[in-house]
Amino acid sequence: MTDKNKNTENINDQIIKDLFNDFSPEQAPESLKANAMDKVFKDWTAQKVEYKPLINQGNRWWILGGFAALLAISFMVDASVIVNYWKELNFDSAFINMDSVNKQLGDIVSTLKSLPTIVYFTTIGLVALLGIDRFFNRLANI
Amino acid sequence: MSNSNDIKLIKLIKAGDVGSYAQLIDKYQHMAFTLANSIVKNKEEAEEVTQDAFFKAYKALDRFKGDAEYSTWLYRIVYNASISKLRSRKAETTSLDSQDIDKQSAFNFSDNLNRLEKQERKVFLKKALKKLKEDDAFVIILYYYKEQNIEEIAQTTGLSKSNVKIKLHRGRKQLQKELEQLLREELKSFI
Repeated sequence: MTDKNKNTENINDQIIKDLFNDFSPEQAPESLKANAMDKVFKDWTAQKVEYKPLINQGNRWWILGGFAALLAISFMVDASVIVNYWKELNFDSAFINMDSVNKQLGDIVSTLKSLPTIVYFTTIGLVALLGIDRFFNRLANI
Repeated sequence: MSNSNDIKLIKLIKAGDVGSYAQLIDKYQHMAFTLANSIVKNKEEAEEVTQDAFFKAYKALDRFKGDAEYSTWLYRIVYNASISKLRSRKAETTSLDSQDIDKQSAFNFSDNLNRLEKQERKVFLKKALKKLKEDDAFVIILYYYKEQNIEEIAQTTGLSKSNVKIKLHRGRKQLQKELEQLLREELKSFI
């Protein structure tokens, strides 16, 4: 490219640059955004929401089996046997001071009793709300 | 790197807040539409192409890693969609015959442009851009309006750098000729 041609090109480049100072993008039609979002929402709603169980299939059987075994043992063993065994161990005198534990438990119970009723209702309400929220979430994913 | 606000919006969309995509459309719809129209040169088709491009961009959002600007990534989809549209129909090409070029070389382009009002120049530029061949206008807009360099344009369009340079050179020349032609017509209307 000769110097003259290069110079002409530089001038033209500058003219076009100046011209583009007044340039602004065209206004997209109003319907563009609405139609594009319509497509996006259609695709989103068509997608399956997969529910991932907290306990997977394999573990589920182990848990059920374990629970059934515990239930069977509890029916077979008389509760008095367990109580007598506990007494034979004589835990309270050897390792744990049961009197102190009882006293501390009593203190906790009296503290809980002194709390205003509203605290209990609020707590129950919050737990109930969390439970309902979880229930509806599960329901939505069925 | 990508705009932090765009990244935030993309994270929200990926997390399931699909409604946030409307904000990205709001931000880029005019430029995307302008670029699509610069190739397909038909408003209805440009709208269709832009809608499709936004939808394709949404579907491919998981593949967007944020290494480049979201706009660069989106404009590439717009470019590809526009080229596909163009190929699906018979392209109308406007070619300038050499005789016209010779005649126009004596015409004082710069002086006549300066005589125009700002609004008139805007209209002239839009008209001239519409007459450019295929994707030359796309490259010209990215270069002069979005002030992207050759490398960025190559990234946006997927063309090689040398191809971008050729298109830029050809587009610039043709744009000048189209503007001269429009100015001549304008002058004739006064006489």
